[in-house]
Amino acid sequence: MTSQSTSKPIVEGTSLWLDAWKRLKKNRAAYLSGIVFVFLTCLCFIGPFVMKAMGFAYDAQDIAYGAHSPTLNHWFGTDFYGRDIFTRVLVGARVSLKIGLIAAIVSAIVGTIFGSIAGYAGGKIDNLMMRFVDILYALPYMFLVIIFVTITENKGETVLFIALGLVGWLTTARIVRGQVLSLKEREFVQAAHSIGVPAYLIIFRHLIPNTLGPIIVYFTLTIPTMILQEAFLSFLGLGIQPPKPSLGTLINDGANHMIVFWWELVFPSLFMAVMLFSLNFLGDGLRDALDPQMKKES
Amino acid sequence: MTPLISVKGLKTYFRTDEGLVKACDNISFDVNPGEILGVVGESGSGKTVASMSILRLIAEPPGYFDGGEIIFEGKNLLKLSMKEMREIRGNKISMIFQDPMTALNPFLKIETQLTEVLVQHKSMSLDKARAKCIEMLKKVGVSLPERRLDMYPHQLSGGLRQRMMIAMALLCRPSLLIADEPTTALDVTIQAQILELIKSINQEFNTSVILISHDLGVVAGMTNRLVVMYAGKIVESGLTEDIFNKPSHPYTKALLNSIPRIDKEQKQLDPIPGLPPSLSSIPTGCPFHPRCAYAVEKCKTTYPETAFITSDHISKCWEVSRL
Repeated sequence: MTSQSTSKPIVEGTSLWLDAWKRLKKNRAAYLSGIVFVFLTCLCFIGPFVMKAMGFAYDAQDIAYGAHSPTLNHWFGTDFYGRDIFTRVLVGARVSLKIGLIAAIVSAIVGTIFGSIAGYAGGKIDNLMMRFVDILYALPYMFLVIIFVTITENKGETVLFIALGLVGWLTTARIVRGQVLSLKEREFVQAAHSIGVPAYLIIFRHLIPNTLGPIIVYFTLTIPTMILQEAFLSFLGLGIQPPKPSLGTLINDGANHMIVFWWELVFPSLFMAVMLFSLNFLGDGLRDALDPQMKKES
Repeated sequence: MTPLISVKGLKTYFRTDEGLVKACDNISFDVNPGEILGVVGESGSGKTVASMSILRLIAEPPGYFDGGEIIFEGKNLLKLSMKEMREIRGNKISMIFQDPMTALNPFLKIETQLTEVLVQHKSMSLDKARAKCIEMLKKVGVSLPERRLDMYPHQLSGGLRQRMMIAMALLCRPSLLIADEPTTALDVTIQAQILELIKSINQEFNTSVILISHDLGVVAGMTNRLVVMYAGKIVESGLTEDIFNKPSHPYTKALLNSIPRIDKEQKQLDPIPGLPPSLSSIPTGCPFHPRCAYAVEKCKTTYPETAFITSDHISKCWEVSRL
């Protein structure tokens, strides 16, 4: 057995990611938030199926039962149509999360590719691409979304993706471009040039991995923004349509009945608040963990 | 002997806000197969730009080639397309950078960065490339090469990283290796090892080397021929021996006087007075005349003609006879 321990490598390979993970674990608030977020996400994606099997589908009405405050059967109470609010919150949060995640992922990918190409190309191309971003920035997007929804007469997830995606990638593109502008002057990029690596590989293999830190941080902070925006749009009646719930529509309904049926407002709002808090803490923690300047503190 | 690469009248200029910067002004030199050519000069004398011009690593704009040609294997490198140039970079001509701390990508494993060259130029499979890398790392004196390949740059010491860079530069067996101050960022003991390594590579693979340095001590022991640059121009060139024995330009002479010598009793070193000129406002005539002890009226107005000390030892000075 002793021979085994001696043959072990002296130096374990630690990557930058492993370092960052260690630092993240030290940050209690971020680590706990991460756990809470993963737990809530699992709950949202598995919970509704369990509840359905137990007979509490999100759209199962029981008008005779009606709105009822929380009981052992209905943990968050029921709404006017006798639907279980716990299930509806889970389904709503799932819809919100899905929209938030997909919109954030799409905007991160589009923004990264757009920004890195602009930054790498530089000069006139960069100028042209970034002025295009500025123009999109300047347009009042809520106005765009309302026009868009009215023209397509199509309300629902797809429109929301497009509307949120339309504005989401702009900031990412700016962040990535700024990073690439400074990174491309670094010696390792020149070294890559000097061994004959083509431009697309320099962008995708050498530049983008080096910008991942800020991208990930911005990404985690985008998800809550996207969820909020989705909730806002749904609150205005431009997003998810009933009977399908989203956190926004649930809160909207709750707000209408809040004087009589307080639980209809409080529980969806609380759920959303906890989710957003955990995401924000996680994003902050990631920013600290991925910032190489923070290294000396650990 | 036909030179491996021959630079003729190279003019690399930069358009900047302060005006036109002539970083390389009418530079000509040859590198013969299997020899080590030294390029020396102060910071900002255009050494690095000259070497980057060979690989076309100059950012265009603001930089551009105002004239001249670089003939390598019968082709003018300045006229090649970027695609043709990529075929040459890392494959036939490769470069070692000054600071190994920043010349490796911190986010990629050593393996990824080394195999990249082989995959790019030799279309090798990753397994084969890895085996080749291990072989090369052994040649450049890296211990435990298999394990080092799985590491990230920040886990290696400066000397090891420079060895990695050298291995990377040699993987395709280039005929020319450009070493741009390869030892400046390393401490003295490691410096000696790296220089030894470059010398042994030169002998073993018959790779020609352009060794750029501002350290005359480094250059003296390593090179066959020497080019001395000042303010973007070559002021003296010839066999290393000849230049050290009979410096034929006031600048070279002043440089040699400004370093301590172990074989002479010296109370005080003689530094060169003044500062090197900014490349955007080079003095008229001979650019060295404001700092030159031998300067005469003529030096202020007219750039010197080439003076031949021997057939391949040349100097750009009006007053060679007085030195």
